[in-house]
Amino acid sequence: MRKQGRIRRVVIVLAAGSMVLTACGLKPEVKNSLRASGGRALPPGLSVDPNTGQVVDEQGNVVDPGTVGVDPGTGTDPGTGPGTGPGTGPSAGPGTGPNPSTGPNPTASPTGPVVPPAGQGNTTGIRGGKIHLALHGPLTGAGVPQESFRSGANIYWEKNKIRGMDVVATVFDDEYNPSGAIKACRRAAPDNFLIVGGAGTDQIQACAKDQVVQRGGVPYVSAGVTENGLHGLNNYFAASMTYRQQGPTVVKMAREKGFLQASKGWGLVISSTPNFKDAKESIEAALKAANVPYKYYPVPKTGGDATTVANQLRAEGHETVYFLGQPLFFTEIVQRVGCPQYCPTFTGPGIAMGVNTVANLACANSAGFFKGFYLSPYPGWDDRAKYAPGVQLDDDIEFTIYGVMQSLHQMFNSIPADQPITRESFIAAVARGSYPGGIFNPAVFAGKTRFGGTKAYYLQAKCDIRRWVTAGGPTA
Amino acid sequence: MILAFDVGENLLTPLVTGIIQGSVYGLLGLGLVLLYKGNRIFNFAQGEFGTVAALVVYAFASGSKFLPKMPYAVAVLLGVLAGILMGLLTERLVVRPLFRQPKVTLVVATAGVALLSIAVEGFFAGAAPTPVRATLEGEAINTRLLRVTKQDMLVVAVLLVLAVASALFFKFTQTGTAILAVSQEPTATSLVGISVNRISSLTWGMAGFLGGVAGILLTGTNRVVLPGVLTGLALIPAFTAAVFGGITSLPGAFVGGVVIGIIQQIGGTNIPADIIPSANAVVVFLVLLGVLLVKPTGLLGKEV
Repeated sequence: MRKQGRIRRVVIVLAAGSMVLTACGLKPEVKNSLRASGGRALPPGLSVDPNTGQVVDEQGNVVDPGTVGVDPGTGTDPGTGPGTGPGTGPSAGPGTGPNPSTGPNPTASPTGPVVPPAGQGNTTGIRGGKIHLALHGPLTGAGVPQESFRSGANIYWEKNKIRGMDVVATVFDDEYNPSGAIKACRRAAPDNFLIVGGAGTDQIQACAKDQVVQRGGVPYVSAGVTENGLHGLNNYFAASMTYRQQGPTVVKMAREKGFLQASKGWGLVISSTPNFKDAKESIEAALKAANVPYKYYPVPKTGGDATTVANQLRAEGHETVYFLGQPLFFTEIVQRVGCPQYCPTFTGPGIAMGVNTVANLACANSAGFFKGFYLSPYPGWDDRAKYAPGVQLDDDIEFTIYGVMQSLHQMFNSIPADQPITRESFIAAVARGSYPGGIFNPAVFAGKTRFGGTKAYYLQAKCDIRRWVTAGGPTA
Repeated sequence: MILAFDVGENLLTPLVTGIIQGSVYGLLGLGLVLLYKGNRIFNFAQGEFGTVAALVVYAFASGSKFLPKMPYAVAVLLGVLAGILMGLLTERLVVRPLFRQPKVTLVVATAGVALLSIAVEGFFAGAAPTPVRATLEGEAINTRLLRVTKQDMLVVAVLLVLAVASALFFKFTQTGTAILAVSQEPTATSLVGISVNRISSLTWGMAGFLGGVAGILLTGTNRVVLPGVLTGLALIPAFTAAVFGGITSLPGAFVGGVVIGIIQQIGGTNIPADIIPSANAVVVFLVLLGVLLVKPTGLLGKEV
């Protein structure tokens, strides 16, 4: 009895201790303080902005913790941040002055070039001779090979550098939901130069416009998804065609591939979310212009009841189904429509459905009869050797991420050689830049738009190999 | 606005598909009702008993990683055993130490088991969804209005058999009576020589079995398995079905599941989604609310 009481007391003390530690860890100011200062005390006059997690001085100017002399007792911290002014190179000593880094955030027009004042700029994420980049994507629950997010980036940067600096890409799990994406991006922002949105319209939108990302002036690059809520963001760049831009291209692909004209019309199965409104309007306009009848089937954002939708599609007998929504819901619908007896051609814009995991499931769910044509900003897996010669890649996610890194490299290289790499100089250079791409199609921003995608590939599902292959394009 | 009503399209199709869909909920709901009868708790880990079973079936049927490839029937057997083992382990490691604690503690603990299970499944199986085969391949009906696979028919049949067998078990066997007695008065039950621990293990083992069967059949129907799939897809509808049918009634889980499925399908088919988005979910909760207001014990439920 007494022994049990002792055990209970020990358990209570341990539980209470762990709760206190957890609670401390969850308090943003504690976590940010520890993160920003590398776990050390900050010098007097400096504090951590609870919103951005960045170290700021009394005037609110952001200070690079790498250049801050911490632990005044020793004064030996070498500082890891690179020099902050042109020609100074990496800082070598225990710098104490505030990083001129950010100063006032330039507030140029969203599409116009933003030039930082000479010698100033935010160099967060550049330390120890390395540039740190963040990617966020669904590493859990959404069905993509998770390791490939990491390995695709690593494979590219193993053989490439930016101005002699190594590049380190860290992947953050956004749990395939917007709040997870915001958490991931807020974790990434204080330590990384820029953020790349891996997948998921809502996640990309949530992260790109998040106030912490905005206030930190963190460059944010993603594949083109919705345009809703992303207009007017100074930091945002879509490197491929958005859903709105892809509407006419989907119809063009359908015409070229022979599934445009349908006596029973097209079924448009689109998640009823504001973020797909531009996609819906775009495909409706394109179908009207082509004189093709259609019927719209709104489905809940989370997927909903695939059986009901499949029954309705089968009853209507649509020969072509445009689908934009959750990939797993898509594969459920493919299963329930009842191929081969009723087996419409599925089509739509890139990027989510064009993943080989989706083709694999759709083919398995349809006894190999799945017919699919989707647009994609990158070519099919069958073309990997052409677009990434000599590179050993294991799957299409690696291939895609490798391509994203290739495009990012071009963006970094467009920063004028006489300017330091800062978040501001990056944004300014990309905003007026045009990029040839490689695996990804060319992107043209040219001071006019942040939705720079120009072309898309046609992908066709091949159920004998359960993958998407290139079936045409790239075309606008 | 006059909506065209087609008896086949608007009534027959959702009726049949509702029965099939509802059977899946009922199958998972059976395990929930069993544990409610036995322990007076809602088991949030019930879905994961099924997911683990389905993942084990996939692992052995495909011979993934270091595992030997086995005939599908053997893999199914191992999957069901894995479900039972999950139930037993949950009982031994979580439920039994907390048995005398307030029921809410136990309920939260089962939610913890579910979350832990999903993490462990992800660790071993990865997050990517994996295509799996149906237990029975082929289609029974495939017309413009209706598509019923052999797997669908298997699910309905298995649910029927299990619901009847479970009800008979509680009505006619001493063990069934002992389970009910333990749930009502554990101390008095142990005083008459019934081992509470053994009964508790038996109940959770049976729940693991029911969850395992549900998991294997549901993933076979959806043709896909991934960590947390049963919890994500069917646990909430299964809870609804169990409460709707009467949380103390095993046949109620069957009836509740089927009725919920039919309401969902008829609602989803006939209420345009641009008028009420997710109409199938809305009508289910409206009907559930109505039933509970009029008959709080559910359709077939009664106090033991």
